[in-house]
Amino acid sequence: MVEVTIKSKNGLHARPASFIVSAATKYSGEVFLIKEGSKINAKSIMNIMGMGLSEGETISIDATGDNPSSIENELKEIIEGVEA
Amino acid sequence: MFGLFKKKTLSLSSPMTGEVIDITKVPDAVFSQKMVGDGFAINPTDGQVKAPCAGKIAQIFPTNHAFGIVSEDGIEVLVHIGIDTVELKGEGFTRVAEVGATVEAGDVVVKVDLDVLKSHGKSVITPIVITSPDKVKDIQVNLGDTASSRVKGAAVLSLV
Repeated sequence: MVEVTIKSKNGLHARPASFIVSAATKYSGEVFLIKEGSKINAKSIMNIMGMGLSEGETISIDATGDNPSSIENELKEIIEGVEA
Repeated sequence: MFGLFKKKTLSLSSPMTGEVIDITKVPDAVFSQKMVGDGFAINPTDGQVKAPCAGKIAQIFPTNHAFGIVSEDGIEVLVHIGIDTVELKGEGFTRVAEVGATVEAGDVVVKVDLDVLKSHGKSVITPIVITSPDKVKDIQVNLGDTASSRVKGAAVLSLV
């Protein structure tokens, strides 16, 4: 499990959510985004957008399956790399 | 056993009045390259945004610029009103329905003031995308004026 803080000024809207989903769907195991007890499937664009994550919020990324830290770190990089 | 040969389909009505256009014509690569999902788009002439099919409102995004419906068959349909409209932080959008509500096709979910979008230089083109691609085999889109596609639907999905 890794933590990441949203830097995008518009939060995790359609564009960043689509980047997360395209990376997450390539992972064979399960991968979740967690915020304050709500845990959603990172392969679902609708669920990601529905979390309504905004700039400055911190979430956890948790994968279960083969080599979970690789996908966790990849998603962390994607989320940190989104600026708008 | 004849039911085995019956084609399962889901018809989507246009959520807005206007013109149905090809998703690849949307002026945002995240939609035109189908990164969010396949579907169609509307170039709207009116600000009432309706449910494209019967189902449950799964999400209305905090800024009211997009919402998601899940049909009885579990098909997820995302309606994203305008392009880059997340940047308006809700200005111009009014929520009419609530998350979790059961809706019929044609029920108004959100109202948008198209002039507010235009005054901020935002495209009003509204993509409607299927975000559960594993459940849909094919999408047939009926391009053109939404008045003429009212009977046959703006798009017909062939379900798995």
